[in-house]
Amino acid sequence: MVSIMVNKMFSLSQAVPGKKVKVISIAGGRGLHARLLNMGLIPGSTIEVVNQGMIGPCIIVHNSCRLAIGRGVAHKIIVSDL
Amino acid sequence: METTVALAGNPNSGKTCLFNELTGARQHVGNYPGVTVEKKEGQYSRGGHAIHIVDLPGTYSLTAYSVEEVVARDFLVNERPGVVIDTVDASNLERNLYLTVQFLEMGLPLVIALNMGDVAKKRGIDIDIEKLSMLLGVPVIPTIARTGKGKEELMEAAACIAREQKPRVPLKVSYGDDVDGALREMEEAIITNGFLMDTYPARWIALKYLENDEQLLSRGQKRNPVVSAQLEDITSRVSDHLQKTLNIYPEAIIADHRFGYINALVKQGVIERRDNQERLYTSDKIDKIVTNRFLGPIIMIGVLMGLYHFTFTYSEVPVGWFDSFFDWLGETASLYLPDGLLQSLVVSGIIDGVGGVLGFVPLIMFMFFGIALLGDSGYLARVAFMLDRIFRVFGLHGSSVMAYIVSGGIAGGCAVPGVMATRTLKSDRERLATLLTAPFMNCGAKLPVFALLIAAFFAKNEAMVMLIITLVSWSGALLVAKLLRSTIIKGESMPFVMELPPYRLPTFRGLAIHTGERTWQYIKKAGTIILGISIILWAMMTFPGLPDSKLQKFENQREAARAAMSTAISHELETYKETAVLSREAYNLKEQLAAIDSREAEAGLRNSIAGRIGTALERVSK
Repeated sequence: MVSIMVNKMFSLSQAVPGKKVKVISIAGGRGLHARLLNMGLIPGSTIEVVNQGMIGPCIIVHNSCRLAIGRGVAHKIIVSDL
Repeated sequence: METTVALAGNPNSGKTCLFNELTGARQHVGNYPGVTVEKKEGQYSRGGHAIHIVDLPGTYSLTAYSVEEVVARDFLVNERPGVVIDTVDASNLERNLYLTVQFLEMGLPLVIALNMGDVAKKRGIDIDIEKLSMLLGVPVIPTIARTGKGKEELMEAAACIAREQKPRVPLKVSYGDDVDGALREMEEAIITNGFLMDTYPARWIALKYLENDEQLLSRGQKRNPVVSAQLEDITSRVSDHLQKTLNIYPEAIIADHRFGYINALVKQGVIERRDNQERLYTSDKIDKIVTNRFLGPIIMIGVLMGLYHFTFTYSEVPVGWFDSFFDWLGETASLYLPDGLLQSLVVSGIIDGVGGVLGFVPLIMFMFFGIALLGDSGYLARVAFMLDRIFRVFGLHGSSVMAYIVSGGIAGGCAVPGVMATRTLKSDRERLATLLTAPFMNCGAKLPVFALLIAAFFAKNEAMVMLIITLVSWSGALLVAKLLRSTIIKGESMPFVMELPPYRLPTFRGLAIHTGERTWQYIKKAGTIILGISIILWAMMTFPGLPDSKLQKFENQREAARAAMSTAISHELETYKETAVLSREAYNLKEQLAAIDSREAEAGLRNSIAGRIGTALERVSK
């Protein structure tokens, strides 16, 4: 589980639409953590940001399934470039 | 004995569609006790065998973090269904198998309905069904729930598994050295003490302790505090160790390994991806436009206005039929029942009261049809997505907008179906705040009053003032929602994570079932609660009647009016038919008598309980 992190880490809310990023960690509480894990958003998985609204939630594609993620939640998902 | 089959699966895996196909109209909708999660049950019968099917709420997992998941697993443990049918979306196999693996870890008798193979194929995903079945050790039946394809084979396999009744060995997934070691230790303690063994397999109980599952923990503490404390000790030891070395919770390790197990399984030739998976699917193409930052809101307003227009324009005619039917019923009843209290109860209490509500049935039906159309096609999830940011500020959810619109967010709705539309909201607090504020909207009954006031005071810019009134309603509703959410129904909003289902063409059957069941619920409510309340209201407006001396006074007035005219005129009035033209004198007499009647009714109302309450309140409101 040791990975060498060369790439810069940022929150999902700052990711550029159309780009693919890798989930590094989830900074939320245990409940949110579990919910995202159950939907398959485990650290190490690759997701694509489809839509990044100015104020609204963002849409991501993960394993060919679209998830809408609220702003507050997106802030807590830490990702990095591939 | 009748077999019970539980239908489980991820949200959007086509589970509800499959349930509709299997049971048709033989459904019963209720609630799971104590929660607002819908419980649907139905019958599947074929070849003389009746199979009882229970539709479990759609879940991604079996943790204790959401009501749906708790309801689903409680059902599996308490009711012990003969078979669990797990609906698996073939186009999204890995994530769906996450739930499947958990069922297998629980040692449940399982049959997999591999659904939407057609969609998967279009996306270039080929699945080796036999291999999947062999690797998982359970029957896998391909189905296409939209058309009902494969349902006979599915039920046959389910019946077969149910007949076997052999004890199943729970699946053992390896969770890495740290977790596996702890699991072994805990399993031993559980088995030697027979701890909670009547509910789950030992390893599953140990897993739930590691996941810090609140529901199971409290159950365990009640059953045997000593063993529970022992297990909690092991858990905190492992948890601390994992925190120190890897900086993660045990449940993250568990989820990680479960997905690892699934990936390894799938890579053994179960899935073959033919072409480039990264091409844009149709749903994504639609989403690019429909959830676009600028076009999205415009399209949304158009669709919502369309729904509103559809509901209120097209339901006008059948609502008219219902109205005239109840008018006719009232007239017939007054014709055949003798004058007096019974007639008054039946006509004013029952027919007017219930009829007033049942008259809305066509409107409700049209609206639920429209909502079912938006919901089944997948658009409603996008509306919630787009509006969530704004509604969140006021402590509501994106889906709250539906209830507002229906209640009269665009002036002229109705709050009854609006309140009923809040059912789709998952979080209790947000639902309560929405349904308490939805009646602030300008419903069809308030509209004429506003129109009158506007015409009287703002004759110059009517449309403008109407718009302002609508905006005031919205701000009122949103501000009160905010007030409620920061006082009485305080609490965190649900974090917004929501799967956007792919756009699908709704099936006629699905629409009919969804519209029908909701309309029926409305009728049931009208038939019971509203009947009771309208009888109470009738009684409050009728009793106590006017004292005899007052009644006599009005009778004397009528006599006096008649006496003032010649007998010929009185006679003309008594015998005339609706179509005939009255003479001027007779007409005057008729008007006078009507005026006396209405004064009597007014005095009666004033004297009744409701009237007295109203008069008392008048002083306060002045």
